[in-house]
Amino acid sequence: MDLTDSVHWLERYSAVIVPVLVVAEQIGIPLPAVPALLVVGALAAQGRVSLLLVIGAIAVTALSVDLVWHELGRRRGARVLAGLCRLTLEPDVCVRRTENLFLRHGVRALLVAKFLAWLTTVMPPLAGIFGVPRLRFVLYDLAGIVLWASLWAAIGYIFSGAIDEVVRRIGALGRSAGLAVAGILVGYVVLKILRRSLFLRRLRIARISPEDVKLKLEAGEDVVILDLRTALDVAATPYAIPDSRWISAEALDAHLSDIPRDRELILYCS
Amino acid sequence: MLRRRGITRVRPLAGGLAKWMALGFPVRELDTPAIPALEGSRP
Repeated sequence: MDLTDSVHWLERYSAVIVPVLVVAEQIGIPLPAVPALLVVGALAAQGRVSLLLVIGAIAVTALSVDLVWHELGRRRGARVLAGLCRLTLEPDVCVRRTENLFLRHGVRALLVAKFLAWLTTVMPPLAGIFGVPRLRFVLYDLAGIVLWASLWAAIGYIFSGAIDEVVRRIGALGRSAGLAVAGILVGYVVLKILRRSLFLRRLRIARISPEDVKLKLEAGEDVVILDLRTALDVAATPYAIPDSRWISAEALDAHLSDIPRDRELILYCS
Repeated sequence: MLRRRGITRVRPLAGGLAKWMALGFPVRELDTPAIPALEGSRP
């Protein structure tokens, strides 16, 4: 199936295909929801697609999925977030960035969540973990979804002529263009996975087990235990290992001089 | 991050606090930090 066929499919089934692509993005699968929305906007400008229907279908589908994640966050807490972030290509960055954004802007961050791939996946369960009430969550999440879908579709609508031309030219290249794009996408994902595997391998070598830490504490060994969780993590789980010191990751630079360099440091996050 | 800042004798705790608590090891309670952006929510 070449690009011209894809556009025809999109024209006929846009109210199904685009919501499916959006949901795929919501669970961390990098599918081209934004390019599809641009094309849908361009098709709407030519009167070939109903924008209202597509945006309505996206809103209903995406909100339903987000509500499930929100509920899971409410019921299962931080475990959901950790599990969900494992699906993304950079789980550590994913958790940290999302928490920082939520810490600064609270529920208002939902308005921009759909615009950032790493955020759209983890923001709904995070809102659930911190008990954002359902109605408030629905209002902000729905506004964010409609804003995101409308903006991209509007860009497609306004630049329909240019998008039509791009689709026509890429279509003329045939399957080779599609294969090249797929190759770049696969290469990008493989590179990210390899980098993460190397990082985790180095980390595994240095790690210490909880049993060994407990033995060290019981033996009165001179170790420093640092709790590097964010304020959000601490609010979610307000407990710490005895004798540990909490320095939130955001404040680490300000406390560098307080950290002893001549002793063994044991670090933990959530 | 710490290693880049010259602190090299660093050992991450395998499984983090979640594993520590799952093993039933002792913990102490912390004061919940105030998070202004989450007003109206249940921290």
